[in-house]
Amino acid sequence: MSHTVKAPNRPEPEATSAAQVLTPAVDILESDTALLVVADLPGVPKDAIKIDVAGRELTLEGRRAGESPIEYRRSFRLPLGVALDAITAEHKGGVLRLTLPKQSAQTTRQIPISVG
Amino acid sequence: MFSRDLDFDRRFQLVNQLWRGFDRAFQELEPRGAAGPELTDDGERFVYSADLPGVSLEDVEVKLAGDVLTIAVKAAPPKLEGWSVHRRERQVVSSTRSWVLPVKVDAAATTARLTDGVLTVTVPKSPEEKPRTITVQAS
Repeated sequence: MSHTVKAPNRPEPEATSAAQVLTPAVDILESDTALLVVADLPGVPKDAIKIDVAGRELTLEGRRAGESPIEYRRSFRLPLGVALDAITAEHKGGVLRLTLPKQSAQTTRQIPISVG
Repeated sequence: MFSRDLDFDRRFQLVNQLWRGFDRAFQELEPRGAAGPELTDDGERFVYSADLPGVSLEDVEVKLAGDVLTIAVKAAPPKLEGWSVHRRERQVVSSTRSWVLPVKVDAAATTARLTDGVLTVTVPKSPEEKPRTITVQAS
């Protein structure tokens, strides 16, 4: 399985909000059964985190309130074979852990050749 | 001779420009999740704050001995057995830092809090050290 992870998105200029857009640091790990994305989102409460999957693109967003608000944002291109509807997220101590299970039923199928 | 030196300078200028461009490009790409630790003085109190995502309560030690504030963070490295690593940007930071606070502080009223991976330590100043407003009298 090949994994393409897109380079972090360039911060986009935002006209409407004064928040600084930053790219959070992430770890990306893989086991036999799943991919794990771990992102540092210090100061971002659970309710201010948004995880979107559009097509094969996963976007993380988190807003950190304060005197100088920060908008964390990062997108990844998900590899084929990830069970999109089985993605789970866990948030603890300013760290977001996304588990992306691999599709299990990748059994090989034999195609019979009919004699013409 | 003179013109040759100028050429030389110009060439270096180009190289420098190129490097500056590189630096800028990488700065923008570099993940910057965490803010550095900060110790501020708002008149009434000292406030220390640092981003410590993923660090648990028992790995942080805050000590106040007289006027010396010490903050020690012992971050455990992540467990990676059974995982292959595609990308590792998150930094494991263990550090010990001390500050000599310039005025007397109220040790009993000092608080430390770890919320969503942000450590905030508030050290109030002793009542006699707090700023006073002096009324100007007309003579």
